[in-house]
Amino acid sequence: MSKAAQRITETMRACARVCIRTWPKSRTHGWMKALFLAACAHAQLSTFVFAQSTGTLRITCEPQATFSYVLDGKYRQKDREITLMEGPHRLVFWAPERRMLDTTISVAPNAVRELRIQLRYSEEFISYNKKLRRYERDNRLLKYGTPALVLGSFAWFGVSVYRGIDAQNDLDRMRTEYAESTNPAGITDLKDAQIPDANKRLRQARVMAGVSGGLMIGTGALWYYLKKSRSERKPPVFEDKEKARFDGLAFVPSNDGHGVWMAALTIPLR
Amino acid sequence: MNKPFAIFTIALLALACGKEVDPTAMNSNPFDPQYNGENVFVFDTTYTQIITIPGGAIVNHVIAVHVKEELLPEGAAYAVRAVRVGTGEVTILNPDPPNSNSFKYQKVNPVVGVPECVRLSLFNNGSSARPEQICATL
Repeated sequence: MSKAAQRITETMRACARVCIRTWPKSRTHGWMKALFLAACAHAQLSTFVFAQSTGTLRITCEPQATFSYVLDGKYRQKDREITLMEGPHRLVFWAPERRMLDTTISVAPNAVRELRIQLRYSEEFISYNKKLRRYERDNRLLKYGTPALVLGSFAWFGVSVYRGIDAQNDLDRMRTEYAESTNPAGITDLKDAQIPDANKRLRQARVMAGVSGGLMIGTGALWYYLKKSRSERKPPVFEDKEKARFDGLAFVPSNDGHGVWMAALTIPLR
Repeated sequence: MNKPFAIFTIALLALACGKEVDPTAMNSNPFDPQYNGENVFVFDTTYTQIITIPGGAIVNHVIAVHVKEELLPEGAAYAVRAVRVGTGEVTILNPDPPNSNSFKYQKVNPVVGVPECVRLSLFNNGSSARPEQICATL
């Protein structure tokens, strides 16, 4: 008990004694005296309660916006600064997507204590986050990757066909040129360089068209398959088990001063 | 769905039907150095030609040939390159008479009884086609 509280108590006792001794006996009924003594006793008791000193707890918790805590297993609140009776207090911190932190803080009388808390991400959230990232990556692949592959292979196929047709046109032109040419050196160049080059381009274009056509069909089929299979898949849902546990701890006061105990039950279905 | 598939199929077929050209099989043009057809030059006649000049006369051995123009591309213009066998002396011949398919190779100082051979080839743009050898004896 603090010195100030002791001083108040002593003062009250002295007052009560003075009151009893100075009270006029002739005018006093027995029941009034009893009432007066009861009042003094109440004052005595009150001085005992007042004797419990308080301390202030200033809470800084990360994440700042969403955290809440359960004080002494009863009261769920979000206040950043609370005044508590001196002594140890149990605080359970929690924030969405974070793990609960159960700690006991000793409150010193007439003092402000800074409490810094960093809540770590819960295992469920980390796992959910991984699944969500994978899901989003797959979605991105479906949305942009596969169509890009299809378009790319289509463009490749188009270019290959164009080159093939171009080479074929060149060969046709060279056939005519050969038949009509009167330049022996030109004919030699045509046969030794131009026609083999056009043949090579035609061969390459044919191979490329085959490969790109196959790729186009393959990627098209893949796109269709992925689109169909992805449409049946649901995005991952975050089940905050820590929240359920935290809610189970809380005493939520109602407007009329009463409250309800919250409880939660998680049934893993998979 | 059917239209792109049809376009795809047509494009593939068009490409598949395209044929390569075998250059070694191309040898039907008489201007081709690797020409493999019938002879282009036809021997017409051979004779001596005496050209009188001041102070004397020159005797030439003339070998007259003509070109089978039906083998050549239509409207082809050309000259004839003659290489004398033995000496390698080169002479470019123009049509005689002009704008005809007849050519005359002339060699001075003819020797009677000795065959004179020349290799004739179609000539254009500084290059010559397959040579054909023609011999003539006075």
